[in-house]
Parts: sequence; C-alpha cells; structure tokens
Amino acid sequence: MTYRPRARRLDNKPKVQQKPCAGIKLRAAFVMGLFVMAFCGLQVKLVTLGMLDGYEPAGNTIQTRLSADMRRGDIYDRNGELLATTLNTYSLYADPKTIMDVGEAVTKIAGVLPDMDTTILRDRLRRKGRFVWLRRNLTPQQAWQINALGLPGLGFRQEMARVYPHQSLLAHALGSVNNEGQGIAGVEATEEERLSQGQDVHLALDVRLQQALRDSLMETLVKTRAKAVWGISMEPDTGEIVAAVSLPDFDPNHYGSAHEEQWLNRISGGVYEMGSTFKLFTAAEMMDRKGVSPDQAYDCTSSISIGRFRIHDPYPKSRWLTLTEILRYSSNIGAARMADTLDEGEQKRFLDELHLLDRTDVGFSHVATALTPQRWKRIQTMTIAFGHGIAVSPVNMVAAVSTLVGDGNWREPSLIRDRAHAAPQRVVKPATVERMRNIMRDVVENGTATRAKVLGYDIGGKTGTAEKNENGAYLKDKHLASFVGVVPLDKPRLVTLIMVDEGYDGEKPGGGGSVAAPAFASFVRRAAPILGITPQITGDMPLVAEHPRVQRVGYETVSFNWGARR
Amino acid sequence: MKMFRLSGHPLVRWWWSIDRTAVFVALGLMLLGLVIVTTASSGVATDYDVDPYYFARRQLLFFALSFPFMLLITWLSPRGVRNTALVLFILAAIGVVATLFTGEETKGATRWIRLGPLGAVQPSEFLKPAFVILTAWLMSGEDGASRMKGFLTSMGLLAVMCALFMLQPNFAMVAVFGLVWWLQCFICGAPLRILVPMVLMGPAVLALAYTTLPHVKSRIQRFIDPTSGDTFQVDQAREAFMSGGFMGRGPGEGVVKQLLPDAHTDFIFAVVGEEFGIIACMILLVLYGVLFWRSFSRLMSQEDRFILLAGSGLLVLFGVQILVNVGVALHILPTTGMSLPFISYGGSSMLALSIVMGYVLALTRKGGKHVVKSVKDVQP
Repeated sequence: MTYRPRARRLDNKPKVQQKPCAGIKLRAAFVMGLFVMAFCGLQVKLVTLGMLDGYEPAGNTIQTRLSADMRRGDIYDRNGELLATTLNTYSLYADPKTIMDVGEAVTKIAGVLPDMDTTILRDRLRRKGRFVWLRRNLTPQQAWQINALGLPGLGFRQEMARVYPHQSLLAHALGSVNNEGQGIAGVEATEEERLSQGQDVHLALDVRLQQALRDSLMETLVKTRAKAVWGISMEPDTGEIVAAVSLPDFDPNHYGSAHEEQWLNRISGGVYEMGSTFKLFTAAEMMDRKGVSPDQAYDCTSSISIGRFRIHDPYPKSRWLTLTEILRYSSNIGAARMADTLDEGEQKRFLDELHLLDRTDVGFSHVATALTPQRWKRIQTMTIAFGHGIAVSPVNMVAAVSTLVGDGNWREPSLIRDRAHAAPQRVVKPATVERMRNIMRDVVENGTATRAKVLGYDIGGKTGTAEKNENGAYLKDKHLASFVGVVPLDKPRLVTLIMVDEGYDGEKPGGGGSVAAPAFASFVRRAAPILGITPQITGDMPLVAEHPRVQRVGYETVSFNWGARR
Repeated sequence: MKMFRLSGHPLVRWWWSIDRTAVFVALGLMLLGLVIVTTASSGVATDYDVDPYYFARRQLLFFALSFPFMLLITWLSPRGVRNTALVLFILAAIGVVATLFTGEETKGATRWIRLGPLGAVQPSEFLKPAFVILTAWLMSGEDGASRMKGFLTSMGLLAVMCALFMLQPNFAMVAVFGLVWWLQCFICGAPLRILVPMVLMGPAVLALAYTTLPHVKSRIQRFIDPTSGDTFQVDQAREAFMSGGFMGRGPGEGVVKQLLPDAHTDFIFAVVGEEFGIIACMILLVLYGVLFWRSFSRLMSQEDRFILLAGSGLLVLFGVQILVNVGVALHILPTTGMSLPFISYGGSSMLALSIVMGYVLALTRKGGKHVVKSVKDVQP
C-alpha cells in the first residue's frame, strides 16, 4: 500500500466528482461539534464553581476542609445542667517558610501562650516544609491575641473540642473522648452511638448532690489519708443514681494526662468483700423468709470453729444477742448463727433476687462481675452472712439496700435517664422494710454508726469493716471501711454507700464507724438542704445546730460552720 | 511587506503557507504554561526536595526544545508526515515494550524509561500521534477492500498496544487510544454495524479493568461514592477553584496548591483556577478552542482522505487530552493522569504535543509546495 497524494486530481477528473471526501468532512464536523459542546459544558461548570459562595479564605492561610462530621450531642444532668458539650476552637499552625524572624515569632507567641516550650516552638518554626502544628484548641481569645500579633506565616484551623465545664466533678460518669472525638470511657463511650448521631443524653445525676458527695469524700480522703474513697447515692423510689464519685479521679478535659489509678471507676468497675454491711441481707432474709422476729436471740457466747475456720467478734459481747443487737454491735458470730439456720442454696437465691451477683451495666464503661465461692456450703453461707467470701460491686450493693429500706421492690439502678429499664420486682414484704428501717436506725442511734448521726435528721445505716485480702491472707491492719446509710428513714430519699480504702482514724486503721460513717454524716449535712429535707429540731436539742452553711463559689465549695461562730 | 510576501524564498513561502494564528496561539499557550508551572511547582518542589525553580527551569528547557521542533515538523509534506509517523511509531512501540522490562516505577506503574541525559521518557506519549497517523494512512485506501484491510490491520495494532498498556498498567491510555481510534473509524465512514459492537466492547474492557486493576476500581469507586475512600486530590482541586474565585488570588499567592499533589502536572488546571481565577481558566479554554477551530476550518478545505483523517484524528486526540485533564480537575471524570497540552510540566508530554500540533500545522498548510505545483498544473 503506497500513499499517492492527489491521485484523483492528477487524473484531471472534474472537481464535482471529488465528493467522496464530503462524507468524511460531515462526520468530522459532527465529532468536532461534540467537542465544542463538551467545551461549553466545561465552561458552564467553571462558572457554577465560581458562583459557589460561603467560601472566604481568611488572609494568608491554608484553608483546610472543615469536618463534615455531625456535631456530637451534649450531656445534661437531671436538672438540665450542661455536663459535656462540643465547642469550636482554633488550632494554630505555621508556614515556616513565610515566618520572617523566627526569634521574634517565638518571643511573641510565648508572650500570649506562656506555657509553650520555646525550644520546641523554635524547632518547629525552623523545620523544613510548609505546615507545622503549633498548638491545638486555642480559646477564641487566645486565637484573637495571636492574630493580633500580626506575624506572617501563622494561621488557624477551626476544630471541634469536647468541653467538660464541671471538670473533675463527674469524671467517671462522663468519661472522655479521644482525638477523633469518639468516646473512650464513661457515658461518652457507652452512649457513643447516640452522641455521635448528634443526640443529647440526659443523666440521672444531679450535679448539686454530686458536688456534695465529692466534697465529703475529698474531705475524707484528706483526713483519713486513704488510698481511695468512693461513694454512690441512689433514689430508692426510682433506682436512679443521683451521685457517683470515685476518688482519685481525673479531669475529662485532660483524660490522657491522668494516671491509670485515676481512670479506674471503683463504683462499678470493682467488686469488693463488703464486710458487715452484708449482715443487712442476712437479717432481712431471716425476718422475711423465716418469720424470725427482731427480738429472736442467738448464742453469741463464744467463737465458732468449723474445720480450719474460726469465726469470732473483734469486740465480743459473750452472751446471747437478739437479731437487733447482732446488727447493733455487728456480731459476726450472731450473723453466722442466723445463716446457719438456712437451707443450702437459700442464701444464694435471696442474694440473686436482690441482683447482688449480677453484672449490672448502668452506663459506666467499667463493669466488674461479682466473685462468688465455687463451693457454697455451710461454712461459705456462714462467712457470707457477715460479708466475707463474696465480692460484689458498689452499684449492686446500693440497689440491694434500697430494696430493703425503700418499698421492698428491687429497681434496676440507672445512670442514664432515657434508657429502658426492667420493671420493679418485689423481694421483701413491707413489714420487713419497716423492721429493717428500725434496725438501721438503732445501729446509728445506739450501735457502731453513732458518728453517722446528724442532728435533726432521721438516719439509718450499717457499717462495714472488711480486712483486705491480699494474696489469700486477710490483713489485720489494712481495712476496706464502708457505710451504707439512708436519709430520712421514714420516707427514704437517698440510699448512699461510701467506701474508704485503707483510711486511718488518727493512727489506727479506720473502720466503717470511724472513717466511713463520718463521711456519710458530712454528705447528709450538705445534701439534705439541697433535697429540701427539713431537720426535726425538738425542744431538748441544742439550739445551735451543727449544720454548716454551704456556699458555692465557682467550682469550689467553701463550707464553714456558722454554729461555731455565734 | 507585499514584496516580502511574494518572495519566493522557501522560508517565506513556508511562513505564509502555515496557520500563523495557530502558531502564535500555541506559542502563547506554551509561554503561559511556563509561568504557571513556575508558580504551581514551588510547593511540589519541596516534596521532591529540590529547589523551588527546579521544575520551572526544566520546563523552560523542554520549551526551548519543543517549540522549534514543532516548527520543524510543519515543514513536512503529507508524505513526510506519514513516513516520520511510521518511524516514530516503531521507536515508541519499542520504547513501550522496553518499559515493561527496564521501566522505572512511579506511583505504581512502569511507564517511563531512562534515556541518558534526556531524563525519563514516557514512550506511550509519542505512540499516540504516531498511531493516529498510521490509522489514517491504513484507512485512507481508495477502495473498500483496501480500507477493510487497513481497518483490520489497525485494529490488530490497537489490540496489541492495549495489551501492552494494560501490562504497564495504564488503563487511561487504553481508553484514550480506543476512543480516538473509534472516532477515526466513524469519521472514515465505518458502517454502524461495525461501530456499535465496538462501542459495546468499551464497557467490556472497562469491566475487565475494573475487576483486574485495583487502582482503576478504587478510583471509579471514589468517583461514584466519594465517601468510599480518600478523595484528597479532587477535594483539594475543588477547594483550589473556590479559593481562587473568578478573579484568582494572584500569581504565586495560591495556598491550596501547597497541599495539592501533582499540582504541576495532572492538576495544574486547579492551580490556574486558584491563582489566576476562573475567568483565566475560561480564557485558557477559549485559547484551546481557537487553536482547535482554526485547524479544523483549514482542514475542511483539504480534499484528501489521508489529510482529513489524520488531521481530524490528531485534533480529536488533542481535544480528548484537554477534556480529560480539565474534567478530572473539575471532578466530572474519575482521576487519571493526563497532562494539559502545553501547560502541564513534563518533557515527554510537551514534546509529544508539539509533534501533534506540528503534524496538524503541516497537514493544514495552504499554498504549500504541492498546491503551488497543482496551480501550475492547472494554469499554464
């Protein structure tokens, strides 16, 4: 095949007959027409791009995409107080190439942000490349001040920051979020799905009571030099947790800088041998299921020896004690004697009805499972009767005690208001409730918990002092002291459990009566006025009450005793 | 002036025979490209750890080589065009095969071979114009039988080349070759019963690429559903246009370009948008349009099958290249690496498009040697 240009024309054929090329031209024109249309389409697209508004480049800055993510939902307490929210913040970056005088820039930036490390700042500004982060999450004021420096090469990127205005107050309940804004602990983690979809979450907590509880526990932590102190307060009528504090805690705004010890939520993330507070369940079971009267007496003359176990009382009465007296003096022997009358399996069934052995997830991210003996025979029943050989979580404990002093119905403890809950379940008869209240009043009036008394309030409770078990051995000098208290007894508004880990009363290892009960009294003094419970002051009471006036200044609570001043 | 115009000097005859407007527009585009590459490559230069004007200097060198080369090519007669294209085709085909064995891998594909001091060369760029002209030649036969033979030959060549490109892998090149070749068949007058089945082959090849080439799959997915993967490049490109607005931020003032990968090559149109504004982008497209229209209208006055087929094929190639590049930058098409003619940085691309333009100018000469000859033939 060879190319012969213009072969036809050289043949001198008339021009009219050169039409064969007309078809090619027509089709070529058609294709070119398509191209012209495509070009016009591009022009239109360009014009529409240019017409897009809402895009204002701010000065000499690199504009980055604003995250299209939905704004995370807020968290509120029961009264609508804001506990966690998402704010726009400004993050500062630099284009090292445009920075004219690194020394000047470092001095000026450090002037606005005094806590910035100047050597790191200098290094970053001298770095090669055209983009370095200098500081994340500045406040609008800081951003304004940096901007006012007029330094070239600095810019801001708008970001979302999670803010917890109450700082450490609700640390374990709220938890925190990671850098990507996803919940990693507390309600932030357990309600991640709703929060990430922009829905708000309402908690059962009341910040005022939370503040009251935290102040009392903080006071106790300092006074008793304890390793840790935690407490939980529940409304027996609803099962709602109104306050939950675990110290040491952390500031959710700076979750990452906290220590592991601070992250642990002891309220639901730990199980403990409760000690004598468990005698409440033994007494309740005897009266409710066995028809035993509070005046029924048991032989407490001498300690009990079964195999290698020996059950004894720290302050033995060495006589027969009634059921009421067993609780008043917290007699281990008495509790063991009572439980010894139960059939095998009865005790476990009763504790199950109170949901003490459940793994209860109320919305805290830490949930621990109860430790129960693998063999639950006579000796186990007798030690469990006074709270040894079994470990339960504080959340379950407070819900179980609420059942006994509330209306006899067990209610699922709840931290989050808009979650569905199991229906109340009847556990004990109203008559048993009445007797339990009287017994608990007696403990506070005449027994081990006299330091839980608050003048004018009808308080009931039970102390607990568990010897800590380390590597299988119970330690005489390391106590886990606890107190579970009710206020007011005739119509309970709050059931509160307070636990003190290795607290000291002076030089002595603290027990439930000496370190936990005073913490409860301190909490009642703060909480009762908030709840509107009026003290019943009768004629024979001293006119000057011991109630402190509570004054709130910012996030700090300053309390002082006006009785002492007058 | 008139004297000059009537001079018989070959240089003068040549000058008056070619499309001078097109030459000036092409020169203008190249000079604009130099300016844009200078500003667009400064951010990229940091990434490659070279000085900010490295790419600008190299582009100046490419321009200095390419533009005279284009003028040189315009001297060619249609026969010369055909012969040089044949040589170019053979050399480039050898080059493409060579990439499979000695190629340098860049971003997951081996499309380049190193040729001494010239630096890396992308042979497939040169294969494009060569194949267009070869196809035009094969299909410009006098009678139906020879045309059919040519058609089958060129289809065989296309199949072999596509197979080679798929091995590189360079799916975009397959698509461009296929499209340009199909349009040439259409212009040539291939009947619908041949053209339509070939159109149906397009989706089949696309499906094959989608299932066998992971990068093709991910790009198409990201184009259809931007949430399925990283769309950083196209997002940045879009942001660049919005940042610039109609008037632009001013030359060298671009900021989005700093974060835009391939700002100096495949996404240079976005830099034009940010720094010079959308109006400048539109003017740029108009300049291409002028080039296109001038060449096309002059082509239409030719009366030769080969010239018409080759010329329109080259223009189609040129147009597709512009449309794809701009379409990607405006997020109308999925991301593919295709340079913007005369503007994008790159020696292979610059030289190859100079050859395209040179061929077009050569084929659209008026009053050229053979025309004068024929006038003499007619008028004695």
